[in-house]
Amino acid sequence: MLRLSGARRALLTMTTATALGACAARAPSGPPYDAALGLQTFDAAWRIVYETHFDTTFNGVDWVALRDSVRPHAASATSASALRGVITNMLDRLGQSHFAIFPKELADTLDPGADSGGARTGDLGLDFRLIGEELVVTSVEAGSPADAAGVRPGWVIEAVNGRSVADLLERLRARNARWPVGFLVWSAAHGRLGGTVGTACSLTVRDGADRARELVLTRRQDPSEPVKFGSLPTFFARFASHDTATAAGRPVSVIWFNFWMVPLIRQVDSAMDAARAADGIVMDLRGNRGGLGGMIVGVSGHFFDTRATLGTFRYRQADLKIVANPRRVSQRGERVQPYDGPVAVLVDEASASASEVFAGGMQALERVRVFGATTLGGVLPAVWDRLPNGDVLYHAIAEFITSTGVVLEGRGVVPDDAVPLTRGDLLAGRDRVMDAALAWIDAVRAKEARAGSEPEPRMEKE
Amino acid sequence: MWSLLRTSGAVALALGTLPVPAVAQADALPKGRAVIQRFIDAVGGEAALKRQAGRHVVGTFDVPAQGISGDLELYQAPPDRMAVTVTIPGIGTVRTGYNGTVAWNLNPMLGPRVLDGLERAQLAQEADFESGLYPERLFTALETEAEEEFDGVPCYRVKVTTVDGESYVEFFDKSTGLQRGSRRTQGSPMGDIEAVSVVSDWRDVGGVKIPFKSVQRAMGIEQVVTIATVETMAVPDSVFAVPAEIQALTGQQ
Repeated sequence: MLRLSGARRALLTMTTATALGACAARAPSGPPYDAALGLQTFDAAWRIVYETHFDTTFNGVDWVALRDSVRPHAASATSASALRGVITNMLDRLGQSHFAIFPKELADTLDPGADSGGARTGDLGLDFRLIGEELVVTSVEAGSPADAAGVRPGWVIEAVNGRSVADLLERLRARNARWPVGFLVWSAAHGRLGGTVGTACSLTVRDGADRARELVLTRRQDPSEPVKFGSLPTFFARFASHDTATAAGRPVSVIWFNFWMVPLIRQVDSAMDAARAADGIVMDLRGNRGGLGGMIVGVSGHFFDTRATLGTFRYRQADLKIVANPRRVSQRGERVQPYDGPVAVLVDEASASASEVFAGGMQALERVRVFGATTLGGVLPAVWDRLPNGDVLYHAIAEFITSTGVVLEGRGVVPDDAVPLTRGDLLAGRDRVMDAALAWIDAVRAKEARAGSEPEPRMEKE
Repeated sequence: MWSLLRTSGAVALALGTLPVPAVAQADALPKGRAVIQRFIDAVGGEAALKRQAGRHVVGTFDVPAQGISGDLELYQAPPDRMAVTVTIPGIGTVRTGYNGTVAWNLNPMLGPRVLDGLERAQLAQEADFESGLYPERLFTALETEAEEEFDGVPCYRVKVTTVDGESYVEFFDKSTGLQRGSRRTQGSPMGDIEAVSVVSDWRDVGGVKIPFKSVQRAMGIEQVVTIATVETMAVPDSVFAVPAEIQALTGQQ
C-alpha cells in the first residue's frame, strides 16, 4: 500500500541534528525589507515553538508574555538581519540548545563559502582548542597550508587577520554565559579561519619556543564533503580511520568523523569491518558537533549483539527509544558478530548533540569508557521549519535521557577518565587522551588474559 | 490491494449530492463491513480488483517544511508482496520489502533490519494485494463507531481490529464511499508513534481508483507522498527478492 513505511521510517529516525557552528554565514543581500512579512515571520517562529516545544513550561519561561514583550521589536525591525536578532534573542531566553535561525541564503546554498565566481569554501588544515587563556593548535593536517607554513601542535594562535584572540575571548565571555567559552572560541575561530579558496589568511602565532611569528597562509579547498540535507545549512563532513597499537603492541583501530552525516556511514561501516580483529576500538568524537540522530542506531549496533536501548527521546507527545540495531552483516553481505572488545570514546567540549547521545548512551550501558573532557551539553533532538520570509527556524522538539535517567542537556557527558590537554604535551607530540584510551585497552585485555577466560559480560538492556 | 487503496488512501471528491444530517443516530450507522463493501465498490468493484496482476508506482516523497524531497518507487504483486525504494539526497537509498514471509528494511543510517512486532504486522498488511477482496483475512472486526468530520469532510469512522490484535480507525467519505484517511499507531524503530494519514486525489488506473496523494502527520512532522505514474503490470519475482544483507540475517538463501 502507499503508506510507504520505508520512507517514513527513514524520517522518523532522523530528528537529531545540530546547528552549532555547522557553517559560516555570508552577509546576505536581497530585496528591500518587507516589514509585514517580517512580523509574520516572527509570529510563525513564536507559534512553532509554542506548539512543538517538548516542555510545556518552556523551561520556566512565560512564552506568551515573552511574545508580547518582544513582538514590538519585531514590528519595528528594519532589516532581515535585525529581525533575526529579535527572534534569536527570544529563542535564547529558553536557555537551551538547538534553537536558531538560519538565513534563507544559507538554507538554499550548498557551499556558503562560494563566491560569485564559483570558488569553494576553503580551510587551512589545522585544529585547536582553548587551553587556559590560549588558543593552542592541537593538530595539523599533513600537506595542508598550515603544515606548509610550518605550524605545529602546541603553537599558540594569538590573532587571525589582525583580530586578537584575547579580545574575542573577552567578548565571548561577556556575551554568553550558557556555553563553555572553550567551545565558543573554537567555533568562532574556525569561522575566522575559513573563507574562499585561494584567499589569504594571516596568523599571528607563538611557536614552540614562544617566538612570535607572522604567517600568511593561502586557503586550500576544504577536503570535506559538503552534505546538504533539506533546508539545513551545509555540513562539511569528513571521516578518517587508522590503525595504531597500544604500548603492549595490541592492535587498535581508530575511527574519527566530524559530523553524524549519512554519506559517511559507509566509511564508518567499512572501518568497523576492518576493525573486527582489533584488540580495541577508539571512537574519536573530539570536535564532532552532531548530525542525524538516526545514525546512532546503526553505529552503536556495531557494538551490541542484542538490541540495547541507549536512551529516550522525550517529546511532548511520546517517548521514543534510541535502540542499537545489532550489526550482524558486513558491508560484503557476510554474517558477522558485532564487535565485543573494549571500545573507548574520546570527547571534548566541542563534542556535541548526536555525539553526546552516542557517548552518553553507550557510557550509561557500560559498553564504552569515555576519555577526555566534558562535552558541550547541547543534546536536544531538533527539527526545522521554513518561515514565511524563507529563513529556517531550527528548534528542539525533544530532550534526551540516558537509560540511567540522566538528562544530558546542559550537563554534557562527563568522561570516565578526565584527561586535560596541556600545551607541553602537544609540543612534545603527545595525545594524552588517546594514550589514556590505549592504556585502558591494554589493561582490559591484560585482565582478560590473566583470567584466561572470555571477556567479562557486559550489561545489555532491551 | 485493499491496503494500497485503503490505509493510504481516501478521497477529496465532490460532496453534497446527498444531504448529510448534522448529527446521525447511532442506529442509522451502516455496519463496518458495509462501509468497506461500499468502499470496494467505489474504487471499482471486485471484478476490477481481480483483474490487476500487479502494480508499479513512481512518485515523490517530501517533507515540505524541512525542504526534504526524494524519489520513490513501489512494486506490489499478489498475494502479498511489496518492494519500496526511496532515495533522498543526504540520506541515500532506503529500501523496504515484504515477500510474504520476511519483512525487511535497508536504511543506510540504521543498517539492515528484519522487521518484527508491530512494524512487521503493519508492513505485511500493507503488502496484502488482495485484502480488498478478502478483508476477513486481515481483520477480525470492522465496527462503524460514529460519523465524524475528518480533514473537513463528513466521514464514517470505522474501528478496525486486525488479526494481530491491533486496533485503529479509518475514515470513509460519506458522500463517495472512498477512504479519507486513518488515525493509527505506527510502528517504528524508535517505538510506536501516533500518526494521522490523509489520502486524496483518487484517480482511475485500469478500472481501479487509486489515491495519488497521501499525507501523514506524526510527531509534528508532515510527510507527503505524491504519485506520478501507476502502471498495472505483472511484476517479475526478482523485484521481491530478499537482499543479500537480509538473507545473511535470516539465514535464508
